[in-house]
Amino acid sequence: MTAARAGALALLVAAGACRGKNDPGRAVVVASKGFTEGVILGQMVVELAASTPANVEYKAQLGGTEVVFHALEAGAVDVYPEYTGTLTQEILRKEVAGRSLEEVLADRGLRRTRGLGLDNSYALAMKEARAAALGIDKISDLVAHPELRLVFSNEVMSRADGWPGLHARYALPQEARGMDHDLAYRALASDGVDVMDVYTTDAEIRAYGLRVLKDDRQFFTRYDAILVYRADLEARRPDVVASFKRLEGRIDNATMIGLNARAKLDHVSARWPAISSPRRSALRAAPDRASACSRPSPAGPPSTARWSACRCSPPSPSRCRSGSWRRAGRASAASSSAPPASCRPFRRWRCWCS
Amino acid sequence: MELRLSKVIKRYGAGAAVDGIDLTFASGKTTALLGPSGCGKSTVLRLLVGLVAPDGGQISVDGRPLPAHDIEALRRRIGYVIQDGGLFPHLTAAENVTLMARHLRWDPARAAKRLGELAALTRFPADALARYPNELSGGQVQRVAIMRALLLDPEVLLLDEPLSALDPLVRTELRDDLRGIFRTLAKTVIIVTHDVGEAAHLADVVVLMRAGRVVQQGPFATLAASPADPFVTAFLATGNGPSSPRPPETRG
Repeated sequence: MTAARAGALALLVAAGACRGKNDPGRAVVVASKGFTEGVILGQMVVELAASTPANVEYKAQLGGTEVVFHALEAGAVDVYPEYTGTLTQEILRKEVAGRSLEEVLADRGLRRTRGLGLDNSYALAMKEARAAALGIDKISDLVAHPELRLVFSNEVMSRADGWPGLHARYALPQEARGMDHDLAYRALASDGVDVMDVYTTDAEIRAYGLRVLKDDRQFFTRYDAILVYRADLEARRPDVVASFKRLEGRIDNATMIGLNARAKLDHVSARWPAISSPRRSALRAAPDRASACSRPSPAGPPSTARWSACRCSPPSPSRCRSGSWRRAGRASAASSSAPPASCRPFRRWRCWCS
Repeated sequence: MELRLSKVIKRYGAGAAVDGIDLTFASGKTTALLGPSGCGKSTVLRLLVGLVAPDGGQISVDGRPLPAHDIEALRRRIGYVIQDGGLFPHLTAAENVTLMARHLRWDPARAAKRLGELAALTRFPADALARYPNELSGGQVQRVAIMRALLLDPEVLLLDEPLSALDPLVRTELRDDLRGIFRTLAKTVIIVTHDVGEAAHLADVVVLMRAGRVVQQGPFATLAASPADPFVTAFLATGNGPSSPRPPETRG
């Protein structure tokens, strides 16, 4: 862990300790890692938890796996979306040998939900038309086509469970090159390359019309999305735990690809695809957002959860998390320590740190 | 308008920022000048608008050497957007856009009509036109800068790292809008960037530079399919050039 990450974690831990871990009135802290899908899943948890009387706080894009997981262990975070493969292959790799993931998590005071339904694993993909023309449906079919040009992200090129292992398992005859993941999609779309690695819920799979090749020799590890949460949350806020468990088995890969596409490609805020999705059956019981917005606000700027609950256009959190508020516009610079009370005025407000 | 550089050299002190390059910018096409910091790509833009003079070689516009042109008249045919927008802080967004219209004594109705057209083209909110630059987001500042550059309907649009100061979400949104604007206007566009993704997304032709020289040029698919040398391969591997890797969006 870098010094900066360690420092950030220490601050989070200190903040958690000040509040008292077993205080039922304490805000339930939801966090996410710093990528689109994690933010969307975290927002779903926030929306569900907000349907209970609990005060909910959302630390979106808190950091990488290491930071968020240790923040959870330390009590600064109560729940966040994670993947089974990330836990078993990386962060808890040594501990899970011969033991179940549940046991290892329990040793650390943590629990997991059942799978949310999606498996965001690695896979190989080709353009649908090209794959169809060559009759390629599974990875082993690539063996008969040594002329194909393969590119992989640097991470996959270097990991043992990436290209080196894949190459050996399938005896693939091709050479592979490293290429930035987003660029590889573009190169594939423009026929600059033929095969690339994908994450199986990538928005681009549908957008570029790709065929995901079957992993017929079961090389890639499963990365089932789950929620990892503190065991003490069961006692402190069982209603919140029950609320987010409603996501179990509800989001399949196709749904997640669609939600990622809305956020990443259509530029709909990552907070909202989950809300506007017609397949949002698990979230239908969420309270009316307008009434949530008009609740009396605490002193100072609203929490991130309040902002998101109000479907407003929040300013950059890093600039505005502290400081007072003032109305946008040259003529009116009146400061206020309290944010506006309802959704509509929010849309016309910006903030500056003072 | 066709812009051409023939064996152009530009030195700053002992080093050559541009070291004998040959480039032709085809009319109606978008070209991305791509490369790490200090490779000379911004100097190429400054040479094209006559902000700096070459130490060797020749720059020609429509077949005539640059010095043979009336440089002021030529600049009105070229729109130029710099990295931070370069807006005047004491003017509103609308006043920044229509600055040249006032200078040229346009009828106010004509200026207002043109402003409306440009705001629609760049998807700039009408209610923000009365705001001052310090009341605009980074993305809005760049949209105003683009409107200002397009006011006189120039034949060529030059953009120097127009997205580099923006946060990732705004950057992606403006990048997509720029692509639409370029396609709509079908002007000759030259955009400087150090981000391969931006170049691939926006440009018909990508010119990859290193140390004042062109390493490879062509459509992005050509660079991806047949990298000319290990530098190109490494640049494509990181997406941002070997010197400034960008963390990919992964599930962690």
